Amino acid sequence: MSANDWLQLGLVIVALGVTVPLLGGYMAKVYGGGSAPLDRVFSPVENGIYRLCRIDPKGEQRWRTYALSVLAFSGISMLVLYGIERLQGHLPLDPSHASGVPAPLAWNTAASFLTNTNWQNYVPETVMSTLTSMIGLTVQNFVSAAVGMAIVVVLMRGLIRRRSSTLGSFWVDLTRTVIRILLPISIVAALILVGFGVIQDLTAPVTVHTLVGAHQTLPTGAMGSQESIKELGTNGGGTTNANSANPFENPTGFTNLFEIWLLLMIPFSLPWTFGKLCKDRKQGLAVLAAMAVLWIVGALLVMNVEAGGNSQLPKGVNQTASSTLVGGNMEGKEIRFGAAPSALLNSSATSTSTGAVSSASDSYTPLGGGVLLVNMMFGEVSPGGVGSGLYGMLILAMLSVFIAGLMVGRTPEYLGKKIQAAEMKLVAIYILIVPAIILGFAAVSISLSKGRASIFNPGTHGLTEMVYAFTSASNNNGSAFAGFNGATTYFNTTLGICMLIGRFALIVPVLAIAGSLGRKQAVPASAGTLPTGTALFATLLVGVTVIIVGLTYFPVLALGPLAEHFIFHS
Amino acid sequence: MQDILYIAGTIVFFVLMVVFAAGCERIIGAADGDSFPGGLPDEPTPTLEPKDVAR
Repeated sequence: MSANDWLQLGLVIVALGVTVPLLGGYMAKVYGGGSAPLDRVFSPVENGIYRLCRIDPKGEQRWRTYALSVLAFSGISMLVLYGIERLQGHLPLDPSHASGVPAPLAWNTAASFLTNTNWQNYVPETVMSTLTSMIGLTVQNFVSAAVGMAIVVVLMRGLIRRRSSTLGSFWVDLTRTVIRILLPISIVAALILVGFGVIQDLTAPVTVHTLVGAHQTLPTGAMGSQESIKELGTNGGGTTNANSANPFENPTGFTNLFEIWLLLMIPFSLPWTFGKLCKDRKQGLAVLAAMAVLWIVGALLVMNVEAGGNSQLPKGVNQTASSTLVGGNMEGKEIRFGAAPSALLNSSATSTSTGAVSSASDSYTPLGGGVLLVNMMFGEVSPGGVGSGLYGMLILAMLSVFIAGLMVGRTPEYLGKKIQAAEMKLVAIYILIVPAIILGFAAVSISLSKGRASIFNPGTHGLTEMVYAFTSASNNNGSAFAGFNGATTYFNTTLGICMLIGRFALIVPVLAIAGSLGRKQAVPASAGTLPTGTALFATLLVGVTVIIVGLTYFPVLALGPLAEHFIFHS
Repeated sequence: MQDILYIAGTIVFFVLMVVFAAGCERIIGAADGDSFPGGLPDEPTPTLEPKDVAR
């Protein structure tokens, strides 16, 4: 890695170091129930929404009512989005004259944007109308992110509240998240992005004549506003097929760094919010430290191996960075970013639930691509998606105190709440569901001829492409490895099923755990209590995360990226 | 026809999630107040004193 690469990584870390306490503290006030900054501006808007939708802002819900609200809101949202896609040819704001989206693709896309996955089996600039992008996909970019944040807030309340049967109102949490957090930041971020060259218009695509006499159609659209919430909400769905590699979406090295900062901002700030709300900053810092270690180790690994060059090129080829050469493994990467900064965005995107890419993951070295895969296999906790990252990490924290309890023979506790048989059953369900669907669907698909027909590369790399697709869908990441045709009825349907299960079959047990913990009385810490706000606990958390992934996925990783790495170097 | 299948499939999925939520409620309800039966003790185990270890 060059000094420039280290500098860029350092800038992201410094920017996050400044942002996390500010945004984390702000979100604690938004979710804390008292007064929050800019109440005068936001309260009238929220009250208008509450009156319009007949929401009681002081009303509270039990966990199951909360879950039913989430499921009803999501189910109706998915059907509406599906309808918009199917009928877009008859709706206004269609300057590119896009026809209705085919049913399997429309369903896959509806599931994808509803679940914060943003997997795209289509070319956005030609398939989706401007109306579909604006009132369908972009709206889901906001509300799917807000749903994730609402769920983690409920889990925090469950841990913090004492003998409480209610955990807040989904409708209030959803409204406050969108109005007070996502909208203001994304508006400012969109203006900054547009200021640095990201396009923003509502005109039809432009056809230009190239110097060699060919015709080329240039995409247009509201890219700046889409780009900001795409990253901020850890969504990842691009307005162009090349996603953040397209210069209209991500024109410069600065915008590349800015987008990395945006996608990491909320996931890293939420643990700070957690520490503030439970009035023990160390609890939040321990979780934050575990997330940060997993993120930085993954990012450094990918950046280093990609900056190191491609071992398959002839020995005489110069791949060393210099003043006249970008250097590194540049296949599938943009020269304006360079190998390591491209790798930093892809690694950060797979560490969160963001499907954005600024380079082709399929062209990464086997180890580089393997780390991107492992980032998702962690269950999106490093730092994970907005909300989903922290609730995933808190579930792992409960598993960690349980394992520690087994070691020393004590009843596990977390924040004074006893973690008992019911919670551990739900934790087990949470942890087993995603690996089961990834490995199950990948195994079935690789054994079917229609599954293998979608793989463009044979052997170990082809297996990685297949496993990556199901890992990305099931963990609601949305990034594509490429070299894989997901646009078939079979994959549109199976990947859509994985996205839905990977989202809602995890949200339900998380809410149930919150409900169970919320009605418990906290027990005072004793000599037998494992301190959970310490560096030791953060280390235990990292260890448990790595071991769980290692034990679950190592066989398929050995057959995929690891085998390819050893074949390359044999 | 495909539209009907996908819309019906979506509704069935969310109904299944409601049933799943009811199952989770049963897990919580069944174990309400229980600890680990025959497993870990509720109360912290007394810490061994150095003299006990020596003995």
